[in-house]
Amino acid sequence: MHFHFCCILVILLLTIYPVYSANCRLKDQVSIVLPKTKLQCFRLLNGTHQTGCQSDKNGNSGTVIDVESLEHFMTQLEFFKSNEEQIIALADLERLTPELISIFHNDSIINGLILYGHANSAKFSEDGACPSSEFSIYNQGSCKKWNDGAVSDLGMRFLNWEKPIFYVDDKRELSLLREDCYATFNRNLTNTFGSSKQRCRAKLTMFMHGAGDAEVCLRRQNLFYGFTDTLSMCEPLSSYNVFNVVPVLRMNDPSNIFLLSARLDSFSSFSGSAGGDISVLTSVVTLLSIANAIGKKSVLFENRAKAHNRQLLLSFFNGEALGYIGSGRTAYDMQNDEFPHKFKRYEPLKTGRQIGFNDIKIFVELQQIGFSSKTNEYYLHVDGSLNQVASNVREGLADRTIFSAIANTTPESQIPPSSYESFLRHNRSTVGTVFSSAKDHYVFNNINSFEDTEITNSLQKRQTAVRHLHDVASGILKAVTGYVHDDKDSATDFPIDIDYVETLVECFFSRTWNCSHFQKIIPDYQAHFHAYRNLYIGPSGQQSPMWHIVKALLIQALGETHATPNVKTEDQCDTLNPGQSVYHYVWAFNEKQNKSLCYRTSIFTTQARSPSFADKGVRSDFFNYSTWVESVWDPHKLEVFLDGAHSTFFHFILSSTIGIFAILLTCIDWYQVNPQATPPVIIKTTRNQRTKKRSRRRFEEVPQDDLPGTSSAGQVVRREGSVVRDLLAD
Amino acid sequence: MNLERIRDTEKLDLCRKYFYIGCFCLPFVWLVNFVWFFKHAYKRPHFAQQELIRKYTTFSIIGCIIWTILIVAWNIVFHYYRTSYAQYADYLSFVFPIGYK
Repeated sequence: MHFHFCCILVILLLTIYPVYSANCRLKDQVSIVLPKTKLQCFRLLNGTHQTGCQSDKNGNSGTVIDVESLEHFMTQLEFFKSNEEQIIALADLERLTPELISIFHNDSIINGLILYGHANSAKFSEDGACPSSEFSIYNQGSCKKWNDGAVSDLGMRFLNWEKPIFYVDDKRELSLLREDCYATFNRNLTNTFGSSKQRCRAKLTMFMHGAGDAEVCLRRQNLFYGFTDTLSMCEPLSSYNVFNVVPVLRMNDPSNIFLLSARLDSFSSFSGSAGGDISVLTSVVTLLSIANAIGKKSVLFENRAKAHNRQLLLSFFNGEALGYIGSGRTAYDMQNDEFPHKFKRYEPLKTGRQIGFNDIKIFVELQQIGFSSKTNEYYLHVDGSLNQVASNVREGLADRTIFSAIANTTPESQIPPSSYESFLRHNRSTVGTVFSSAKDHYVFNNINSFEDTEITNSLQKRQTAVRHLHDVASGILKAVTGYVHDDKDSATDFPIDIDYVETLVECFFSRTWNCSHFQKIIPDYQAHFHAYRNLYIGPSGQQSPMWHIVKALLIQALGETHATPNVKTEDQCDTLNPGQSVYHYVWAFNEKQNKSLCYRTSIFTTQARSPSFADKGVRSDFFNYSTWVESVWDPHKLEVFLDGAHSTFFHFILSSTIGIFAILLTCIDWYQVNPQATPPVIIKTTRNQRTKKRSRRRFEEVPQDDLPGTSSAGQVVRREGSVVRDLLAD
Repeated sequence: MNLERIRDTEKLDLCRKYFYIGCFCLPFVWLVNFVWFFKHAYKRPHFAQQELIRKYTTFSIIGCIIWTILIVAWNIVFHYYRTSYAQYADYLSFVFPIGYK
């Protein structure tokens, strides 16, 4: 017996062990995991809604259906609806239309979406048709449709999908899904004989913790009572703005500021998106080129500016695409007299000046600087209410060498969605203009999406970009000196360095930001953080490296090393910062001397975090500031497996029949069926006199004494009647 | 404890004690009281203490039913309005749902 048991155990071990040890786990033989997807849709929440994607905790599964044509897809959809079988739709970006997006979004039989391909000629902007309309200074009802490329009116990013969306770009994985999975198993399912065949299914897992809206999510996170754990469900979006004022402003200096701005961020529905060429990078490169040109002859520039008591404020706002986080916070700080930082008084020459709305005389924003084969035009937009004043300014700014046309303005003119609009919300009399390639609507079709990479993907476009951005920067610099030096021709003394523009283009417009220039100049360069190309603002723990890079470039362009010749170490350099608020001292690499030096800069960074998140929750009276938070999510997974048709009716009938039969079997009184069966023996003590009155004619009380070999103490044994009689008869 | 072994006066005492204990917001004690003394209160032929035992068990079961109705009603109301009055529901909750509202 023992030997047999050992034998069986040994045999079991010998059979199971090889199966496990040969890396052929049963699960791996059943489903294939596709690990190379880099883009998955995630959830953002604002003060009132949740947007983006969600899957079940264990994933959303469905039969894989490739959208070949709209009509065929609709037929397949009808078939699956009638079967109540969920599907995962596989769609090419090229074929995405607003109609198809709306079907994907609204139909509950579509349990998930896998996208592939590129929107070469199609429009694919994930922003709404009226971007940031809820923060507009114009009437909500008369939203002007600037974004023609929007694939959905509300914006694909801002729809509440409630289903996962992945993007597959690996060729092998894509061919597995389209050919080995869909074409082999699922294409012919809609035929009458196909409905009971095997189908190929996929399961998409991307579970979001946050839900409801930002208020609910943050409140639950804060109220969590796990005494050792923390509950992380969502995080507010937060990063930094970067500013540089030339020449530096001290407390008692008169200020007339020309604010030249660009935005630092873009977004996408997909986490891991590297888009943002036209949305962000072209304007940033232009601004940095201007900074570099000024920096080469900074003393001359500053002297001329001081002669007129005017300053240039280079501003890089972060978080603009998601509700003007950066510019909204800046405007809020200005209102509270806390820009660039809380006022702290030192000696007059060591205290920097607080900047308010009255100090900003002109606000110029650069937006969507790009070039297409069709047009090469730029427009200066002004707000209709400032029509009279701004028109004069605009004429002064316009340079016919690059602006081949100027948009006509009327009292009803509207500026495109911009950081300038954010300032106007706080102070409607700020004079300014938006410099953009858009006339009545955007020229580029991929604004704010992961497909905004046309310059990055084309060497020829990068080369064109160098020349083009150089020209635009030259023109803008004329506008700058036209105000700051009161002389447009002063810009000729500050030529834009085309080699520098080329370096920036090569560094920024590439898949990863690991060019040698960045590696040298960025203090504490870390490849895993700084090289990861990402233009989405992100929560405070996972920011984009963009502002670090821009700050490092500004330090190189406009920082001075001659002021600190005796500072030899980083610690010494840091000690120069406290005690004054005029300059910012940074230890950074100097290419000419090939070593790190202490730079004196007039750079300041301010927090780009919405004022709505003052305490731990969301302040509900601040809904006209951005309230976006990002949800925390579990690791994503994409699996493909084969499955049978899930008709469970037969199984249900069979199981119920067996179950009912089994129950009925237990109800039969077996002792009636077989009187010869061995009876149970029930021992009854004499103390318990009350017995059930049910007739038990089979049982007979036999006093203990009559039986041989029984113990004393008056026990009565009841036994099956006939057997006892037989015994007694003996 | 085997009820068969104790005298009827002690049974009445137990029943009464359980009833009073249940008055401290303990509906399960009332339920236990009812189930335990059900046979003695209603099924047994009349004995001296039976009326009082019957009274206590009846009140116990009535109290228990009222409590059940209240608890079920509160449960339904709380879950029905949980998402619309999420703020107040969250202050009352110990465990929060993850991933859905």
